[in-house]
Amino acid sequence: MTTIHPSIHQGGARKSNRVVSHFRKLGLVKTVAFLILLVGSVAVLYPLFWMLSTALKSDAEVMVNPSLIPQAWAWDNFIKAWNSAPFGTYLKNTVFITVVGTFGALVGNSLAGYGFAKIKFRGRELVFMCALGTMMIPGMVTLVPTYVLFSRLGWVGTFLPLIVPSFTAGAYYTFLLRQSFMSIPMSYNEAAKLEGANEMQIFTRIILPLSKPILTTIIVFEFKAKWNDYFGPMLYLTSEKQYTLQLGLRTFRGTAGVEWQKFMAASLIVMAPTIIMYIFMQKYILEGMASGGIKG
Amino acid sequence: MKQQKRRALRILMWLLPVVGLAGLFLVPALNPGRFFDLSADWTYVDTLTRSMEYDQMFAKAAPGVRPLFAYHAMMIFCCFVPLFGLAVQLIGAAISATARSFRQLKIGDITLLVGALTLVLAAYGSIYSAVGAAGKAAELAPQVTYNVPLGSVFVGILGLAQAVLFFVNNRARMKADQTYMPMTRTERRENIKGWLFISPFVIGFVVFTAYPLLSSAFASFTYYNITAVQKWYGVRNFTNLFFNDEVMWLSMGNTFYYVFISVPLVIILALLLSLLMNTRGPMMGFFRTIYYLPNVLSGVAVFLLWQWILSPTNGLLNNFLALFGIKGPAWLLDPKWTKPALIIMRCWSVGGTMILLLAALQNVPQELYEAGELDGAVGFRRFWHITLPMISPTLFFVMITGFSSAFQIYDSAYILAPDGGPGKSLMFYNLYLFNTAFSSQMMGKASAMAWVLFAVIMVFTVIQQTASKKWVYYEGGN
Repeated sequence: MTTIHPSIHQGGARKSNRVVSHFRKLGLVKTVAFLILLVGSVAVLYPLFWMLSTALKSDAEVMVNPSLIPQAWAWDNFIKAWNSAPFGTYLKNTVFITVVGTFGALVGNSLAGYGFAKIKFRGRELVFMCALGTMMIPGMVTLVPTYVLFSRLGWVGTFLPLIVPSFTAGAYYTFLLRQSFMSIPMSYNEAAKLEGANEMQIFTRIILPLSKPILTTIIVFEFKAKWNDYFGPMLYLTSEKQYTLQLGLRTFRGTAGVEWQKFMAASLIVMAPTIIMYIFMQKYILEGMASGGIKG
Repeated sequence: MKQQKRRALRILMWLLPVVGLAGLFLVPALNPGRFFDLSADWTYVDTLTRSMEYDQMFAKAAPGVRPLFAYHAMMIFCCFVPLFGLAVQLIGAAISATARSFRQLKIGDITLLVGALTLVLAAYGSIYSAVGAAGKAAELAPQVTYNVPLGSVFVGILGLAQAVLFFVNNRARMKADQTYMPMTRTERRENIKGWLFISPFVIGFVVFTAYPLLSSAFASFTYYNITAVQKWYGVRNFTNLFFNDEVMWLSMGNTFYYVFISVPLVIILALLLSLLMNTRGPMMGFFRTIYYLPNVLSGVAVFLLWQWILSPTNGLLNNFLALFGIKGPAWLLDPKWTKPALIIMRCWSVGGTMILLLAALQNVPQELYEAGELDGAVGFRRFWHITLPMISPTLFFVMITGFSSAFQIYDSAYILAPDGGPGKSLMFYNLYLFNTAFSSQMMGKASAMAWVLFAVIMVFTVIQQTASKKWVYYEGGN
């Protein structure tokens, strides 16, 4: 029966009873897997713990103490970091861009997804194919002309270049929403039409409430993208009063090197909303990734 | 429309390109000067263009003279385009004349239309450049005269006539075609509703995707410094890039190094991790959360965190290696180790790929495994013959997206070493592009570079696509 036994032979696993050794094999494999994964997750989490510990070290200690536990728990690093730059303004700006951008992405993409999914109009397939095709294009190809376009429109130096494209473009989310809307049977539409509802009412009162999961996934992804966006604000925001949190993190990078402890403290504050949102919404993120293959 | 009228139209559509070609070749024989704008006094510009390299000429000429050269070059270009346009038209006319089905007729007509539009564009271009050149010459070199090239105007008018004929003919044919029916009122209403719903999307697509694409394609053939006016530059952006630019090849090399090491590494690592997770032991949900966490964080904070971790003296990584007695290298300071450092950083966020592969693994039906076990497929054989084929579509997807995004790496290098790092080892192609566009402000060259990158990515995607037919197995067939 040696052909059926697995190739993992550790001491003691040689029972002649096939069923028992099968279970033991399962137990062994699972244990080994668990241990490897555990070590791996410690490796993944360690940089974040390191961040926290660096943030809590005092100025003198940062360079000399290589261990994880700080000697002096300098909680005031957080306050000092926050005060090093107008982070309150940065926070306000970031929240504004993120909220408006996410709302815009929801509105624009769901309207378009509904149009592609539920309404038959001439040229529907053609337009959709074109849009899908352009998804493959690297961002750099459109970056330069888009920048030139915005500068000719006079939008450089305002928040508009960061917000308006969310309302209007975005083949990715439209594709996802279209898939999701197409899985809702047309009988809902038809029943509502019999009751005398027009298209907009069907859209807002029937289809949208049924699609809450996918909409939540989109909100989560767009929030993450806008909150963590560095290059968009860097290119388009010119005055310091408009900077976002990510840009604000640059202040800790002086000519003499980086002030590590304050930088880590500030980074933790900036990262906190995304981490909290992730912990509470991870179901949506992980399922959205698994089903739609969204590039996380 | 009556049969005879339609036949007359078709014959006319055939004749026009022939007339155009005849005109282009015959008239110079009668009066060379007026046709191709060969006024006797443009030898001044001619000797200059022939004595120096166009580039040097561009650079050395006084700033005011540069537009003159540009207009001149554009005009000559536009005078040769009609030949091409007429050739296309003749091909289209031939297809239409010998068409045996409606489809072939349509193809022939559309080719005719394309040729006609080329003629119109060439006419516009040559008039525009001739007028511009004449204006510049009047101020700078009064002995040079520029006449509007009548030849292009002539074929431009022909092209317009051809386009009109095409549309008239099409309407007639649609009416004759029994299967063409005008839209009913409900269809029309659905049409309007549909377009209204997708109007933000379409506006966004046109303004933020289609227009930048076309503009960037056009800009790659120009010399465009953002403060000055765009000037036609021919293919020089591309030839300069390939033959005169060492940084380009260096950056391509760096990018290839990163792509061909990081993508397979990440995929293999993700596959191993997802196989481990698929054993469905305890705390799997917890592990899933933890491994995906790095993907949720991004941006400056993460890059600088890794700069701190990779610090040679008291960085986390070197401290860890010191526990094993290994003296870690100066990661971000030693040219040999900078790219491996970035690859390590990329491996930290392996969770994203792992989640995708895990979902695919969990979709493999259990019956397959049980059936396979009856035939003796366990362990590695089980993996190779059952698991791998069933997850191959997802693996393929991960490969394509992995390659595509790895080729575009620049943000980490921009934050950590905007000038390319020690020994230019971190100068990736996309970073070079970004610097060319926003530091050196050479938008034309940057556009050309972007299209080259696009072409490279496309080549690899097509290679992977054709190779995929050999090893990707789709459950649903096809």
